[in-house]
Amino acid sequence: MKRPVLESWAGGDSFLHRRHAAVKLIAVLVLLAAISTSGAGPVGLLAGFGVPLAVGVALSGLPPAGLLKRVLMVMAFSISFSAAAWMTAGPGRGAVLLSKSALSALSILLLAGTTPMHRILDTMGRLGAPSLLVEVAQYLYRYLFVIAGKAVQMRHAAACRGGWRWGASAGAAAALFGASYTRAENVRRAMLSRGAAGIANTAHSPATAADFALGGVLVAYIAGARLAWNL
Amino acid sequence: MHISDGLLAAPVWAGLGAVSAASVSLISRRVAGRLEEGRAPLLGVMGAFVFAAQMINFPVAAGTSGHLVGSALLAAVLGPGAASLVMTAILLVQALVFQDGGILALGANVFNMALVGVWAGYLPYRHLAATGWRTGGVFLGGLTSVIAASCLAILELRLSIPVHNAIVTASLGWFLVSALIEGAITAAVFQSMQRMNPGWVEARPGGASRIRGVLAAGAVLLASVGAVLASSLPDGLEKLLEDAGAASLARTLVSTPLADYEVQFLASPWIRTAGAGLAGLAIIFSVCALGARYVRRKNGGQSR
Repeated sequence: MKRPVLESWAGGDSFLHRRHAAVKLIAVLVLLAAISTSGAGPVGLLAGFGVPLAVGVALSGLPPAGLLKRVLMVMAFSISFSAAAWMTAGPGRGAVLLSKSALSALSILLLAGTTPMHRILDTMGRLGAPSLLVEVAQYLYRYLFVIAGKAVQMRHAAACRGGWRWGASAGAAAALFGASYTRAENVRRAMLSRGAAGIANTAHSPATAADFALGGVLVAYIAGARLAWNL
Repeated sequence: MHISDGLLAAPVWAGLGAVSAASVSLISRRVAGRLEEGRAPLLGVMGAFVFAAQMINFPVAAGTSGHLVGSALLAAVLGPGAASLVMTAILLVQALVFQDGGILALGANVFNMALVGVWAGYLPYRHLAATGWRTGGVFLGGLTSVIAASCLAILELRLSIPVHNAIVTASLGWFLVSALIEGAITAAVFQSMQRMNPGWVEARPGGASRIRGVLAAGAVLLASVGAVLASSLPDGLEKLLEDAGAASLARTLVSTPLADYEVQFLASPWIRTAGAGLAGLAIIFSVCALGARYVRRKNGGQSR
């Protein structure tokens, strides 16, 4: 499994990259809720929410073509349900669902493309998510690509063994479980021997005036657009 | 089946988000209280294992292949509480890193796959693990976890989006096939793990009963498939009464608190029906719980 392109994007430096993770997380949640509850048609949705998102793309320095490609990639599920709604309730309803899905996907991509994963999880913990859940997710992400590398080896080994592939695949999955279990035991022993309590929280600098300004402008825009154009 | 953002109606994602947040918080506290020191990495690495194991293909038929989903396998290996927590972490990472499932829809996805999916997968296994039907328990667990999670996803999408009954029925057929494949894969991987190291899949003591195991799987299947079919087909009894012209008379004579299976103060007819259904379930559950308490007291406090 290749490391996702978002990981390299998140390591960049731009106005949006430098913003406080908590502000970005809350802003995206507000934006997603506004998109979901909007009663506007597809044109109103794309125009109304497309503006702040286009500004976000410009401020993030992320490649627009790459973002568009990823939005289309993650929309396979939405396209099938939008088509179902299109057939049942007419093209208008299908187009609304498609627009809402695309705008939501772009909002999440902007967050994940400008904030490293460990920082998003850490911020979620600070905002009240259960600490054990955050810790498990941190370990999961840290070891995901190591275990996935093992899975690729196991898959090749199963294919080379030939014969009844079902049994070979089951054996490969079980061997992968064994390798993962051993790795977890080694991590635990190493942690206990060092006296480490778990994943250390990264230092967060306090939110700046620019962070509050970004959040404030977005909330004011959404509130104003909803009042003025029923967005 | 990961639901992405933009598809669910606000009452659905908000309601399920609140239920999932409260449940995961409670489960997290319970698991943390019981977890040995330094065991959090094990849970994280088990999550990475499920992620990675999904890359191993199992040949199904005519050149197609399937892969492990993993809810039931995690429940059998870690227990339901820890499995729910690990599945929640998997869904969180999938939503943020791979955009597989939405952020607002995370509550619904956690409810379907990490809470109901894990427990539906664990119930048959729990009762069958200490009997001779252990592998059968794992197979039924895999099957019920996928069926329950998929049917819930269909119901939530139907509450939010107008979808033809034919599409719902076709989806249900596809999910039944996927559930059978998941059951078979889970059982095959479980057997291989047992052969390699029986210590990985030790059965927890207590609760052994073949009848209860099969009944649990049957109940989950009936409830899941029945709920989806009931949402897409007209009520048979109601249709019969309409045809006989007795419905209007019955409506006049009989007025119950959940009249016509709808809670009247809610706006959408779907929400009204679902709300009335949930209220009915809560009443039936309360009556059963009170009955069980009475029977237990009568038997001198011995649980059966």
